[in-house]
Amino acid sequence: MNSLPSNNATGLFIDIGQSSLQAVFGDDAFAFPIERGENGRLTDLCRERLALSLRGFLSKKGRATDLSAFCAIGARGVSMRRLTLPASSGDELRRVLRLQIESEFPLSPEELAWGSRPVGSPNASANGGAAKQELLVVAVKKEVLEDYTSVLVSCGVAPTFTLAALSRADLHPPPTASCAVLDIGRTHSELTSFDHGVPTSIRILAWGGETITRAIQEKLAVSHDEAEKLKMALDQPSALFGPQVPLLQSATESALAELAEVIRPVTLGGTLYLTGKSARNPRLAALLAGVLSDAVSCESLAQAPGGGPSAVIAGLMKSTARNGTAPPLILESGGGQMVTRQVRPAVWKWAAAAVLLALGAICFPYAEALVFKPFLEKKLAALQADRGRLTTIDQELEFLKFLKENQPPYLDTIYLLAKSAPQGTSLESLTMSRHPEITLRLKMPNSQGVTDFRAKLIDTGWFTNVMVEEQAMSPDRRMSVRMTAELRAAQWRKPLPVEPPSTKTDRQRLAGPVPDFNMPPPEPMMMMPQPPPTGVPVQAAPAPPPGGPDTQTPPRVRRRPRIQTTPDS
Amino acid sequence: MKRQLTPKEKRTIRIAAVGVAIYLVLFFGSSLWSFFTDRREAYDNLVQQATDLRNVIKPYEEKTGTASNLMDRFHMDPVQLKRASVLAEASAAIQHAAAAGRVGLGPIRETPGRPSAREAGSIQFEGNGQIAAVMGLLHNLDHIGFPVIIDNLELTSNPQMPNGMKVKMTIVVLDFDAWKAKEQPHV
Repeated sequence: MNSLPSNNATGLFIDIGQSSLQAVFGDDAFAFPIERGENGRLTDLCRERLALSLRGFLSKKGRATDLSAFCAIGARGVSMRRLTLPASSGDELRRVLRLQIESEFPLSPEELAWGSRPVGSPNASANGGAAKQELLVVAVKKEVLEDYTSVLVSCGVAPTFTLAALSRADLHPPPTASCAVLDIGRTHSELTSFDHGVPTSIRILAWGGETITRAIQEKLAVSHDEAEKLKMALDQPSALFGPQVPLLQSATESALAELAEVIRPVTLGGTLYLTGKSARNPRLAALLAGVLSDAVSCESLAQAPGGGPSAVIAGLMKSTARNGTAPPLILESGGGQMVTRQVRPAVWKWAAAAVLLALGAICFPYAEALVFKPFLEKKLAALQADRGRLTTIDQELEFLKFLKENQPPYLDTIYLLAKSAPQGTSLESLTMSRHPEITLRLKMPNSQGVTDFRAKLIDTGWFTNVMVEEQAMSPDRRMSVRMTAELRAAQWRKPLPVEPPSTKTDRQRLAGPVPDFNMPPPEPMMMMPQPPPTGVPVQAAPAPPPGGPDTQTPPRVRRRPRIQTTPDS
Repeated sequence: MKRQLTPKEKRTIRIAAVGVAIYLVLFFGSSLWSFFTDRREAYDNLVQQATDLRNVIKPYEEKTGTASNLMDRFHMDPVQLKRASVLAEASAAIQHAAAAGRVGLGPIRETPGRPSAREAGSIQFEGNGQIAAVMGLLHNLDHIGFPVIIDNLELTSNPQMPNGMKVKMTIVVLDFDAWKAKEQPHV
């Protein structure tokens, strides 16, 4: 039989079984019974008590915080697969593995904690394609690990998880041929199959040392405690010759028969190794082989005598002592390092960004004051210096407005007079000033023209108080008229109608070039007549008949009215 | 060779750094805070001044536009006018405009202006010419580049000239300095 290594490894090692938790720290060991709910998870009460007890155990050692522990968990709820992937390494391998797990396992990778380790070296594909790599993948629901983690973290312990079956295999490396390891626990056993030293499957069996105890109790008709004592006595070589041996052997065989019904010898390979406390019975292996009809050879793997560490903890010690840091397969949420690398810096980055933003928000008003104050002062000084220009602008604007508002509308007035004058009217003089008074001296063909002219002037809306101061018949039988009028205030005047440009522009050009100004003046409708060459006034309109000159309508002339002036005017 | 710090030493350094930071905050924090607060208050005052100034300046955008349009219309910038020479220059410009418009020049008399009426002087202008030429002159007087207002206008027929007329005007030349004095009565 193989022997266990001595406990010379340092650190905290924990074996979390189905019904108990065993911890070893240095030379001290700690055991705690575990209560599980129907879903297999730790009960709240168990969790609290376990945390309390473990804290007390660790405080005795003087290291209650910042302690790392290697923990091995049982096979309950664990899935083990061998996956073949394209040969790769690092992040690429983890990415591909994550995808493969997503397709192979019933739960999503986010809900799993898993670990992997390569099986052998990468092999080239048979058809010359890319090399393949086989991986052993072990996955478990993340919640299972979270239960244990919460308890351990509350005790100041940072746990690293692996599978107990692998730790046992580390302790006793299986031979290259196919074999199986049966770890017999109190109520449950773990059966792990190996092929060429690599685990292929793992099963939980509802069979354990308690089954043997019950069989002895029934066979010998003794109490449970006495049956347990008798079973423990079987572990001693001296008990081989006791009087109850045949009955005990029969009871053990009947219990093993139950086990044989559950396991199939074909799947066990050539050898079945037994571990666990119940495997201390030196005859158990032989009895099991007999029950299995010698189809499989059975062999017990010895444990340290007395209260030594379990095979799992011994395996953990051995593997960590060999690797220096951790067991070869570590179960981690999301597969481990890749996720950790992605998430942890991102959290820090966001936290740092949030802190920076908060600081920036607080400091911004003060930084703004420090940075922008010199610029603002400079700009403000320049604006204050220019403020004097505002007065100048005011003065200029007022001056220009005054100039504009005090320009009398002479041309507009002349235009309206010319437009209102009847045909045959001649202007002798026109006097206007800034004061709104206009004086006119005209000659008209008849008195009706005077009336019409005055009416039209009033109708323009520009004139008021239109007075005919003097109206007399001149020797040339025309009406000589002197009129006065007042211009209305600008706001009461009607707007002048806009007329389309006429062809008279050509005549304006004849009057001479206007050097700097383009706007042609509105041409008055009244025209100063050419002086008659003989000194006799030329009458455009016919003289009124003697009978009634005032009532007669003047002849229609298609050209614009021309004002005839006489030399004596 | 550099020795790496042990976790205990690192922890000690961290605690010391925190202690120094707390000391600095306690003894210099308030003065630093008041320094920044004073700066901020001064900056706020400046911003308020700038806002007030902007409110003062804002109406001037429209005023400037109006003034610019009027200057374009009258072809002049009042600031450029000199009181001493404005009457002479305006008289010369009027005569030039009349000659260019083929208005014959008659007697021209200049009289000093009344300060109360904000005048630089007045010009009595007499001339004769074709009707269109006289009308053109009346129109162009607005654009000669000087602040002139026709105070009085008298048009009479000219028997000596076919289609001609005589014109007699009293033209007032405004004094921009009078507006400046009005705006600054205590100067």
